[in-house]
Amino acid sequence: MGLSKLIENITNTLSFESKDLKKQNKKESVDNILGKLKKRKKKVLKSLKEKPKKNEKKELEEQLKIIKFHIKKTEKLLSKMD
Amino acid sequence: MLQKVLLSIVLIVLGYGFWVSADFKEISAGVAIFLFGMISLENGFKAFTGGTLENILRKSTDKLYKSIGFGMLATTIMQSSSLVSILTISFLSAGLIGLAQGIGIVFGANIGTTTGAWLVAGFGLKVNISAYAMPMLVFGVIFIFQKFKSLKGIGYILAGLGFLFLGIHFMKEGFEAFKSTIDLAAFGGTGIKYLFIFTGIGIFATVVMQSSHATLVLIITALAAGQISYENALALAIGANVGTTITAIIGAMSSNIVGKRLAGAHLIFNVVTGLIAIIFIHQLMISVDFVSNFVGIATDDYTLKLAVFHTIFNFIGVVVMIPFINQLVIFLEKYMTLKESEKDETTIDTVKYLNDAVLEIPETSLAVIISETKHMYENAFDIITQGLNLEKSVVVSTVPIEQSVCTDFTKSINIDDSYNRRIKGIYGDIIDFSTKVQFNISPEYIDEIYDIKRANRYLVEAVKDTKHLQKNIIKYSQSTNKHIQEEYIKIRRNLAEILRDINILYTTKEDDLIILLISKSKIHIEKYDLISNGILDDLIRNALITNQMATSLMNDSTYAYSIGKNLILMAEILFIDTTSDLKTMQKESIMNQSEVEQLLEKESNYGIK
Repeated sequence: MGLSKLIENITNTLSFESKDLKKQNKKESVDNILGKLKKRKKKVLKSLKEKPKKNEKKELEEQLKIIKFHIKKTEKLLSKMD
Repeated sequence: MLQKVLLSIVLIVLGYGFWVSADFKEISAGVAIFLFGMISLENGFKAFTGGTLENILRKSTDKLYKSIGFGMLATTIMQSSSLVSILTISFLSAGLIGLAQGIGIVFGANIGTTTGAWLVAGFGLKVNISAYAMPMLVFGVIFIFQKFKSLKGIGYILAGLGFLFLGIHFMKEGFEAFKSTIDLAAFGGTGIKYLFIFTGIGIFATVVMQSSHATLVLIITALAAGQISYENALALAIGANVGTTITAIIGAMSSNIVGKRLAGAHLIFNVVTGLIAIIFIHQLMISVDFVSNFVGIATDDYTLKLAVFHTIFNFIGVVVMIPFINQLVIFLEKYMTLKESEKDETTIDTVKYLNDAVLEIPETSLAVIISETKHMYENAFDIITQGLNLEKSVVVSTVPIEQSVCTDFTKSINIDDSYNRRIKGIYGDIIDFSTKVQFNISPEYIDEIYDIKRANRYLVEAVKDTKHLQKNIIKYSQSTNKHIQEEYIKIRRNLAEILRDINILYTTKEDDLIILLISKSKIHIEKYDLISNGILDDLIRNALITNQMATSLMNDSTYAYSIGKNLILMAEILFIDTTSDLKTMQKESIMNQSEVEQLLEKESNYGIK
């Protein structure tokens, strides 16, 4: 095997590994954010249970809708990565 | 209340003065015309803020030696240090230069003015720039009527100069009666006491004649006639140097605090220089004799010796004062303070982070551009909140947002002026720097640079939209029609809410909160868009507002929507930390426009009617 072929092989392996590492990192990031979103959802649900004032309740409900939307979206993104 | 009483007293005193003295009337008219010239000059220079003139001025005065050189050259050409000081005050008031540069120019002008003494003494030559006053006035007015902003600016500058000279002419005429009272021979004598007396006379004569050159001619004549001693003549020259600051002091009356500070610096410089000259008068006389002998000036040629003296003592003044420029700036800023309302009206903001030295390091360059854009964002945030007449401290707090909507419109800012002082220059420099970076940076960063450039553009657009919105906000927030008033208050409250979220996005490090707030803001601007939510239709159908109001509301609703949209787009680029999980996800998690619309459609209870 010539030297140029050897270098090409090494470059390809490294590039593959780098891509793999990036993918792994990205998955970890998505996972991280999903965890944080779920935590926030719990917090909002807890606040809703504590009988907030009318205005606060409306705001919390809107927050919850957005959080739920993002949890769904992030889960979808995560499943695509597997 | 006190101001009203003072104004009444001043008006009564002026009225009485005009009645009893024609000279007083002429002097006052001269001062008024002169001040009008100053205002016109400042308006003219404002037309050039952020443009070529500002760049030229900035580049010619960015180092102390350059600003001194600039002052010297300008005064040598114009042969009037007063005019150069006045122009410098106008530059400062228009926000084209800073105080330290202004002081440098004034120092330079003091050296430049000595060439006048040489021209008068050596060649009997007197450059009379005031001869051009009338043509300047005529050309100025013609230019003012032109459409183009730059031509209008030139018009205001020319008319301003014309009025300045006309004002000086009237002041001179008015003071003519006092000129006869200056009898130099009556004060003859030697010793330190007479030095001070003659310095005082020099000041008085220059104030009366409105020209240090005219005083110089008077001194030379008196000296030749033997009315005064050589030593007294020097004291008169010192006085003339102090007296010449009167023009700048009168000029500063119409300018803002920065212009007043420069006039203060001018006075301090000339008084200190004068005191040094009086204290070391004998040493100076020896130096004058030495220099005169060296260049071949005859021992009894007092005219030229006076020119030598004038040059030496002004040089000494500059050399002595140069090390204290920073202290002088600090002193003036401490004792000539801005009122809170004036602070924003006068400060010119320049770049904080951009530095050509980091151009070679791609990552640092990128970080620097981001920091500078964030700096510009802070300024834009201020301008938008003030332009919408919102209380910033409430917007950035957790206090109910309704409380941020102010009802007092007396403090409304001039957005054009704020834009020129706090955005335009920084924006230009960021674009310039980013373009330079693009040539040195590896391709993987190019997209990011483009993104940041876009973020900058979004900010500028948001400020400009606020400017369009401001006029009707002021008009309709105070309208007697409750419906239109309510809609404009709603527009402001909704924008206040967006601004609050944007501010949280700017300060938070929590990735999930960033995603949620961006989505919330996107939903918010769609939900409260008056055109799409049907409120505007209801108001028109039920004839609750006039057609004119409806048109304004429709246009302004578009501007409000655009402000929110631009701020969100900017935040998506600027506030997602490059090292965060969110960046790794490449914004895939951010809610896009079709998702916003879907979510809004789903919610039947989303209407706000």
